[in-house]
Amino acid sequence: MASVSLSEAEKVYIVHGVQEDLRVDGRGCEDYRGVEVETDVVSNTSGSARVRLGHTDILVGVKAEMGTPKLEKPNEGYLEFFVDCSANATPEFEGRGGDDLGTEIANTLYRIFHNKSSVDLEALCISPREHCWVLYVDVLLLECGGNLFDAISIAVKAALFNTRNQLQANRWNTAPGIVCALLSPDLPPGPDPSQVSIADTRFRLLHPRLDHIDLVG
Amino acid sequence: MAMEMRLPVARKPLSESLGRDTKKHLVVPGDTITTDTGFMRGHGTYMGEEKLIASVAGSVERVNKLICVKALKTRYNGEVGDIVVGRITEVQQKRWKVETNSRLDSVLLLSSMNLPGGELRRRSAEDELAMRGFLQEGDLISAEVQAVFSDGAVSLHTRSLKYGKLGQGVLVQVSPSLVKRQKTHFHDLPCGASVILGNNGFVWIYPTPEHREEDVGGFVTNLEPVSLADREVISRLRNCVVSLVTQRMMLYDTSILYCYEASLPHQIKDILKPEIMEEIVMETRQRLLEQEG
Repeated sequence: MASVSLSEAEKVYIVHGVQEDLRVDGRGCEDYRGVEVETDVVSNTSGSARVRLGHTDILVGVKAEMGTPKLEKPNEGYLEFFVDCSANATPEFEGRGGDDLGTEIANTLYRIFHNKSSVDLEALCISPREHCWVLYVDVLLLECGGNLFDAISIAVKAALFNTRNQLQANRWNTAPGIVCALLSPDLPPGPDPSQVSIADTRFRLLHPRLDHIDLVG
Repeated sequence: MAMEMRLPVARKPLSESLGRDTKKHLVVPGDTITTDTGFMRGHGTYMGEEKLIASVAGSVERVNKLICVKALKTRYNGEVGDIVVGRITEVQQKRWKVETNSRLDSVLLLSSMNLPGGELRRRSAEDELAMRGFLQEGDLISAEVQAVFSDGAVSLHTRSLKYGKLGQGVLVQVSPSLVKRQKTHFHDLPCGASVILGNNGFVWIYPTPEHREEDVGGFVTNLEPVSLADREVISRLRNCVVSLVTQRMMLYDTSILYCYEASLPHQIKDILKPEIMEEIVMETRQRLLEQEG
């Protein structure tokens, strides 16, 4: 998102190309650039992920801590998002320049992830009105190369899956709630191997067996 | 709508079997090149404590008694006679400031610029006021280096009709050390597009104009839509240039052409995938070696 100066002729060339569904690098209008996903990159977090989409580089860390449920939702835990648009990403973010964008992205993430099909918030609750799990999700923009919302949402999703895999691997019997919460209810639990499998054409996720985990409720 | 995801992989090192017989002598700043004092020192070296020491990170080149170090990654250092492609950043009183990927902005004086129609006269005050009509901020030009100031800033001129403002096309920015020095940097490739390989690392790919307008000097830009076939050639060339640069190969007309031909079986957008890029560049290297030896 750093501003690039272009001549009039270059702008005309790009616009005409887009009208014919051919971008400058040969992609169609709806084609994505190749994405690289890496999980478990930050050691002192419950889960982390790093996503590279072209020149955009996003790092996400998730920390799980105990907290008090919010007053209006006493039976649910919650996720807290913080997006840091550092000046490393692009010179426009110098000083307070990145704060507005960070708040906008954090609000969008809140809307995406606070619904039943993404995360089961009731499973994050330990005892109603007293204790619940709070997942602090920190997003750091390392480099800004366009398409921030897509890259950040992929990174947050990957980090949350990494959190679940880490907690299962460590057999954290005190945190079955988190494991349960981060299962997508659309995919049925089954005897598939516990791997985040990244295929070439479709983003398929296979989630682990549940036999050894005490399910809450 | 399908997205392609992959895990990051370390790039494979270029196989040493294909290539030079002698290994390059790589140095970093502070390394001793030689203790023999009989050599003349060239760019990138300095004399200290009776030895020749490198001041940049790169490979040592030796021509008879002259030793110099060619830096691997550097900003553009102007030499008189180089062709550059630059972007106008500022319009000042009697000159334009041009960005050429060097340490200081380059300068294009109003008197070094051709007037439309190729007239020869002293530049008047009206010309000065009309400067923005010729070249604005953001415009791309091709020019030649006229002189280099003592602080390293470069002075450009467009005193020939083949230089001037550039029209529709695609700009690729690469490292200046990857552009091979040749007799001519303006190439009309047989695949249907033309390319200008600026010594400063700016590569300009554009559709070949049908007829050469001799007396315009690039002042009238053609804003008509470029045909889809030409666009595909230009996009493919752009991706080929990016692949060659990622694999650190020298850029010149033959290497770009061989890379283009090697990429024809693949789709344009697939060229940038790491495995296909390696395959194409490997084929290009083999063809270039066969052609040389």
